[in-house]
Amino acid sequence: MSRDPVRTYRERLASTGIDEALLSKIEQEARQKVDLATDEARKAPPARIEDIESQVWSDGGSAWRN
Amino acid sequence: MAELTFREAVAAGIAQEMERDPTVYFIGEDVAAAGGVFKATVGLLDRFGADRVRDTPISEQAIVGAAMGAAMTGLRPVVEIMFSDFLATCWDMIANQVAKTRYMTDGQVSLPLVIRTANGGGSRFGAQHSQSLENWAMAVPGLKVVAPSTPADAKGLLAAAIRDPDPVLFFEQKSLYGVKGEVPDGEHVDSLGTARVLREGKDCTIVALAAMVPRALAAAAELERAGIHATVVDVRCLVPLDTRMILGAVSKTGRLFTVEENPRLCGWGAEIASIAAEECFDDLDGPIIRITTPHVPLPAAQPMEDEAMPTVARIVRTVKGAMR
Repeated sequence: MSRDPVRTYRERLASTGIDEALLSKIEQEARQKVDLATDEARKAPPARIEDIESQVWSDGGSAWRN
Repeated sequence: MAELTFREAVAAGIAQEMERDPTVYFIGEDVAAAGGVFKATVGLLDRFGADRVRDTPISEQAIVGAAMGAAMTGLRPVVEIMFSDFLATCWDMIANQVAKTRYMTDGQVSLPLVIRTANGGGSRFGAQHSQSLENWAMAVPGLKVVAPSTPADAKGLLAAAIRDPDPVLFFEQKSLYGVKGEVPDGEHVDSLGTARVLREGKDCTIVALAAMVPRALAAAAELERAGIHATVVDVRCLVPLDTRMILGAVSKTGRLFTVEENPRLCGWGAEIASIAAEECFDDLDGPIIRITTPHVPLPAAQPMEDEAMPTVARIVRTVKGAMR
């Protein structure tokens, strides 16, 4: 993980003089967004089987023949 | 006989051939120290060393391109493309270069090259990591196409693919990696281009491939209880295709059903249906019926993915409905 870009980019930003506290705040906000989205996904109703064949095409369906 | 998982059988097949032939080597993303993302090549680095078992950069084009050059100049490379979906990123190499070299050089250049790849759905990986793409490969002249359903076949057909002088795409259905089965002890080499009848019944033939084979067998057992006796054929190899065995079964039973993971249009079953209609029409007692995934990208959510792929229940329901 020494070449992990999340880590190396943080180090690079820090090396340019950006405040550590600001970097931590950005990280914390990003984590909160992900956690919130994960919670929402977990609480959402389960995927519906009837949606399997929806949204292949712009008309919302999946028909390929008449 | 030893009991191995499908993934252990894959490693055993590669190891058997690397042991036998010093020109066989193996490359791919995270295949060496990590043993592959699906752990199908664990132990090869320790056994054969870093000269012959190599991790590559994340570039499928580079992997296949390097292997092509090596195959052209006397080695027998085995490469891993982590997910078959990633074949799309190196399809120029495979379809335009690898597949056509022998033909375009009038047979002067051989490409003994095996491209292994994790294929198919059922593992909740979503639409871009779950495709069943053996039909893409089947459509390109110059590529042999293999998709085993058991650990024994994984080892034996992989060994046969490595020994074959032509390029072979070897599709490993990822939901089968943990399946256990008996694998013959000692050297085990199967034959490409051979299907296998796994069960005989007089009423209909169900033809299946890879992960659809156990489902076809389970459906046949259920149909038996309902008084419908089904023959089940494991295709094993799409190119070359064992039409003699498949058509023989169809002629005996008079009905043909194919069970495919491919989305509906141009799945491999369409080719088999076409051949059967053309060559044994007089033996058919009813329409050929294909049981496929609908023509949609495979969804990630568990209930949707399970419902989209052909299930045992759908196979039983379809066969019963057609045989009424």
